[in-house]
Amino acid sequence: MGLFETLTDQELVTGSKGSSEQYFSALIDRHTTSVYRVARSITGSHEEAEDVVQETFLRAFKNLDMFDDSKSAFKTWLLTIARNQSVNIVSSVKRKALIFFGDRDKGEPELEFSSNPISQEPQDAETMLSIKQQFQMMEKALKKLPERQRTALLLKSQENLSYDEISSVMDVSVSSVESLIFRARKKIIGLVER
Amino acid sequence: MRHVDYQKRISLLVDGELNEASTGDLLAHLTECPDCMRVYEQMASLNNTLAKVTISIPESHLTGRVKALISGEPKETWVGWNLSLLKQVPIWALIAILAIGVGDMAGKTLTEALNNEEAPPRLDTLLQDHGESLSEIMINFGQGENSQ
Repeated sequence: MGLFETLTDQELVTGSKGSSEQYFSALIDRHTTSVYRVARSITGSHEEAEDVVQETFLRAFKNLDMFDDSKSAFKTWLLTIARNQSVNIVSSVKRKALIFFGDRDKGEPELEFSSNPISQEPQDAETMLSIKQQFQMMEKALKKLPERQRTALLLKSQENLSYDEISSVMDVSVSSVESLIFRARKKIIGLVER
Repeated sequence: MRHVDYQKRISLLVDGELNEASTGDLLAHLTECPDCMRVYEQMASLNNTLAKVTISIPESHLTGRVKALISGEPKETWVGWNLSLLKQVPIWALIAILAIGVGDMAGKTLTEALNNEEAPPRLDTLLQDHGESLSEIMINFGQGENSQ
């Protein structure tokens, strides 16, 4: 395990503030996938998700001196930036025009699946295939959810954030997070059972 | 408590966000209510599936590109902040020049400024200078008036 992999986010942020790019590179390695997942779930587009990833880390790098780790974890702060960037893209006039003219999502790469590192159980190929099929079914249902419900659910189930952290990322109350996740689950279960 | 309230608590239980007292109450209810137990199994299964499989980034060297972008980007520093202010000097100089120009126009009416009319004669052109002091000028002026 490399040196930087053993350091906490807080230690990497402190090192980055001392103008060391290596520390910030380690943060990029550690959090790119999470940022991409959030961006992809909101924008629905691989290309836009990549743009969000780049813009998110750029903003984080430029504003690192303003980050206060006593107020939130680095990952929470980063995902907040990613979510805001993603929502801006979705609501942009240009994007709506592209959708209207049907130019979006041509040649989008297919989703690739892998075992979630958060999950500790090893999976054999047959089980993975079964889970993949279930996930594809669920992914169709996920797309039918309102963005806020989908984001809240995925931040919990895939990023394993607490309700407090999700409320910080989404800038809503904890009770709103509870409600969003509950309604998302009920809706997906209803869609999958049809 | 209504079923929907229990089901909301089931969602919290699945996420580990339910307090101890409410957990005990809910678990007791689940043993007696097959409908709520079914909801618990569905939510737990959904959570399990979403947690096990996740979207990975298609091969695109994304982290490499992000790092290349960052390495070319200067961080905002005290010096950088002051340099960015200095870059605004030409703009302020232009504003100052415009203000002086506008100030020069002040004292003229708009018509005069636009038509470039001659300014009305000033006092020193009315009083021609013959080498007299001001008091001599005033005395002569008064004598001239008295003689009319």
